[in-house]
Amino acid sequence: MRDFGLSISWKDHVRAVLIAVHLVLITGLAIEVPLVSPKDLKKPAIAAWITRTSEKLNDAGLSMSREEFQDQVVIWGGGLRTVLLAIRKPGNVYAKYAGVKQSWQMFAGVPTHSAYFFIEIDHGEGFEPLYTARSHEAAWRKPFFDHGRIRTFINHFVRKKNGKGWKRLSRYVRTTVGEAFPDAKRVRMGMQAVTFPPPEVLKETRAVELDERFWVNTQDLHPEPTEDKP
Amino acid sequence: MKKWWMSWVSFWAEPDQADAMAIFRILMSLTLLQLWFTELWTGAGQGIYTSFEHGGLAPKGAAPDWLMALGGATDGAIVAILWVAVALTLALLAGVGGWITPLLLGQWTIMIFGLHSGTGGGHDRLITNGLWLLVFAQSHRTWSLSARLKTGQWAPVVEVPAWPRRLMIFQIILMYFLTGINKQGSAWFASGDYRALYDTFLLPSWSKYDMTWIGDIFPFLQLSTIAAWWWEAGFLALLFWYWAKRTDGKLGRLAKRYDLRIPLLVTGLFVHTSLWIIMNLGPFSPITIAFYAAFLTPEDVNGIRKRLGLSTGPAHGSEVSDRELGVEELPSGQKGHA
Repeated sequence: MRDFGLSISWKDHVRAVLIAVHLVLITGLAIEVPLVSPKDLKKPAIAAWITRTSEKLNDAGLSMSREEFQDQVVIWGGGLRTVLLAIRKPGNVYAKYAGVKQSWQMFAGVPTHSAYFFIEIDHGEGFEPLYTARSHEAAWRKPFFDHGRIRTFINHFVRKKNGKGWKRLSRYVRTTVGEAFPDAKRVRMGMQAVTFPPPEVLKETRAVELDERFWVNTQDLHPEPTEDKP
Repeated sequence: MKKWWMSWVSFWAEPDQADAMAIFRILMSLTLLQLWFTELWTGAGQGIYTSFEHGGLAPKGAAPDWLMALGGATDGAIVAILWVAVALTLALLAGVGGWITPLLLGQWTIMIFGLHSGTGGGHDRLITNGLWLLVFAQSHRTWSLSARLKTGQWAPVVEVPAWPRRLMIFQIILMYFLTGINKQGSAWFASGDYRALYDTFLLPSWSKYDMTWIGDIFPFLQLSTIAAWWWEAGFLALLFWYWAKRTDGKLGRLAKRYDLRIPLLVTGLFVHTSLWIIMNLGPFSPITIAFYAAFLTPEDVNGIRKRLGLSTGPAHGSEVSDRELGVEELPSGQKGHA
């Protein structure tokens, strides 16, 4: 190792300790906590990973059955889980106040199906598209809906089970569409499910496959006021 | 043990030249300005951060207590908050306010992102991590208005501690490595026909354009899927490369001869620029590229300075190759090898 002729003081030792703590905490926060409970092991994605990895290890010459590999995953994963959860107790506090959050699951699993958001408007003669994601024709408030934060918010709804926040979006759309189109009668919004075909099919069709619509709701833009009862 | 500990302490006590972190400060500022201005101009900021009870999309209870005391996360309050962010970012860009500016901006940014968590992503984490490291980096001491006012020069040669830049290097390596190995979905492997990038470019949430033509280049996308995984996971090798460079044996000579930064970072520039063009990933590409400034050694920045006709400093030698530049007396009085 090189000697830069540095004179080391007690401050340097303190710095070195704090940096070591920082490195341990951010590394502990960054590593995903293994899911190794019996319930987790039954999840399709985890079960598939165990099968795939044990096959790869067998191909590489390591003789181990799937069950033996799973047992090792549980032992070592369980140990790692204990360590990481212990680090995360102080780590989460540090991350919250210093902004050193670590979560690096980016496109970890890429689905072959998704959904896009649409808004349709009825001026009294039936619904017509108002906004459709990635469309140049139905492009009302496109800069707003295409903004990264709005896209990320709407991306939560591509899975049918994630409905939290849909009511907020519905109310927001009803209000803003109503303000922009005072003469319109109704607004409808939802998610259009799509499936990505195999590449040889896409080459021919030049289109993703449309599936069902979900989270569809229709709202009156200017509901009639109810009469007061005598 | 004592020898090992003293090596550890010495490593984090080594000096550096301020230019790399100043460049990061500037690139971070430009990224944030783009973020704040697009949020204001498109109305997305008002929409996403205004709370539900005031007509926005943010959930109830997300606003901090002080904001609730002032009336809550209303549309007007959010506009004001974003303009304060713009002001702090301009201060960071100009390099005024010393360490207080990145500290305040970091806390302000954490607060803004917290108004509607889950609408950001990896770029938010890189931004707040980067701002935290800027608190300690003394990046305002060069390439700044502060430097101009204090020394008469816009870009004086200034010695600063090396440890913030080194922590940035560790952060980016950690991000890439874990992003890579976390990619365990079958589409990243043969079992999924290596179609991860093919499916990713078709995702409506993230693609900018109609990509239904990519069936024509599927084999290329398969190769790119394999390369992307190994490129990200391979960033861990950079940690060993940096360690090897500081050794004197065969491994050290090999590491000094072959600069592992070049293939990894050049690939990164290509990847992130491409993603910036064809996908909508928010400020992820610009902030990641900004982090690349951390890989600039004093030797690298002095090369840039020379080309710009600026004065150059003594290379502090913390990560440079064994070139004959001699031992220099550094401003701190400590000795540094070139």
